[in-house]
Amino acid sequence: MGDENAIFKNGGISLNISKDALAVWKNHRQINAKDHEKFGVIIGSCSEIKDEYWVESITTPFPNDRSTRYSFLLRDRNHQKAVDLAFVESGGTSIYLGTWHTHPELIPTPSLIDKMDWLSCIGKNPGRQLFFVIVGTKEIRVFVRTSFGFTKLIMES
Amino acid sequence: MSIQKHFNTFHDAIKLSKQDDAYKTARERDDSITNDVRNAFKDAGYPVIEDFIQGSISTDTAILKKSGDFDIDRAIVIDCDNAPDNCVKPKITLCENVLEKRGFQNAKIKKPCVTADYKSENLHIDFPIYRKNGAEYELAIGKRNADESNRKWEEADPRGLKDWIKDKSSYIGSASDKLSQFNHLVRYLKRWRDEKFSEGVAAKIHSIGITVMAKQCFSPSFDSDGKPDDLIALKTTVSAMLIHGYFTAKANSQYQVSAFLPKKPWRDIFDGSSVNTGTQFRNKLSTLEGKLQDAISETDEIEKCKILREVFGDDFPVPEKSNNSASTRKAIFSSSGAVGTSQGA
Repeated sequence: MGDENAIFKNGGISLNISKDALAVWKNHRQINAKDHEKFGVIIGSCSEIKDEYWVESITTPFPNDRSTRYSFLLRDRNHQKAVDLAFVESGGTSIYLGTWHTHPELIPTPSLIDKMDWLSCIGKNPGRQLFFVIVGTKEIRVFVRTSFGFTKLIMES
Repeated sequence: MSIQKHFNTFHDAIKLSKQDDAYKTARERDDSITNDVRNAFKDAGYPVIEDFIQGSISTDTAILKKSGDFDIDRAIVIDCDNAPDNCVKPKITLCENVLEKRGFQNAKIKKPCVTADYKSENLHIDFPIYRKNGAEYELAIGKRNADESNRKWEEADPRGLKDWIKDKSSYIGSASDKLSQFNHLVRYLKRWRDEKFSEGVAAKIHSIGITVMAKQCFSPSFDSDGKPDDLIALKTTVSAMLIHGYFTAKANSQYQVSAFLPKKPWRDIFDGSSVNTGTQFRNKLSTLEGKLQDAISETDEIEKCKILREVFGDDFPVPEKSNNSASTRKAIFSSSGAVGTSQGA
């Protein structure tokens, strides 16, 4: 994790994650027994034909957010502000692309609460392709919603 | 993104320089043998008065061979007064009293030099032997059993040739940058040769020939910010090489190639080369010119790189499309998207 860009694919969609974002995730892994969950939003862009997406930046917890070792609540307005700023500065190409959070497990799997939340995120952003990232202590998993439910993207080696 | 970035990556991948670790190991071997040569020549009565590296390493135009082999050209110089009339004698001394004693089974006396191969290390050392009279050098020409008519001390100017290749006095403005671009171009052309010709023909398209032709036809190119544009420079240099007069048309669309050393002994570098070599060289150079023009005309960065990879082989980088968000047309959205609150477990 973190040395170069990573590309995740599923069907006709690819998500390219910058090495800077990977480095942040690597540093926020819940390695120690007392580490709380870390989380934030994903900001990025996509190609005109919407087959390629790029994670350009991510936010990390702000003061008004809350978390425990096994849960988080993202509610600080600074996440929205970061998205709005990127949108304006990019001339309308950088947008909200989804959320990320950590799990204290090697290979993370989404909980029911995670999936319910993701559905709510999709509901708030109709017509947009969103990505949901869970950072485990060993692996990063990226999920998208398909007609079969939430499916993980495969990392290109 | 500029194509120059990819040329720089390609150049870094193929260049061999004095600072490279692989080359340093080769030099240690070379130094050790050269020391033995000094002792053996002293015992034989013609002490070594100087030795130096010649060839592409000394002119900053060396490339890594695809085979991984290294060449070193180590000039050995003895004084004219002590030099035997039979110029093959010191070559035999080098071969028998140094190389064979050190266990080189395949040490060979070739016409212009003695060669030694470190097979296990992919190292190949050539020893041209000169005698020096004042400031003049003469090269020992002749094979092991050459009779008097087939051997001679021949006028040569190894240091003058090196200086000529490295000369930048004729370049107007930022001469060092132009010389550096020239060095890049020679390395590109040598890799192109290794890539596009069979091993047998490539061996006949001598590196010194490519270097001399490129030097005489070099057409530097820099953008308005003073940054090098190797693609344009290579294209215009190759175009000039094609019409400079190196290729003489023969019957049936065949060509003879010739290019003369710009220094003593002023000989034709391609002396004795076949029309097959000349024809292939000319035609492939012409194809190269066309491909470079295609690459210049192509506007898509990835397509440009693909054309150049076809010309130069796999060491020329082709960026991943999805790695390359800067060059892809992006979707523009009407709003940034709603974050709201989010939770997870």
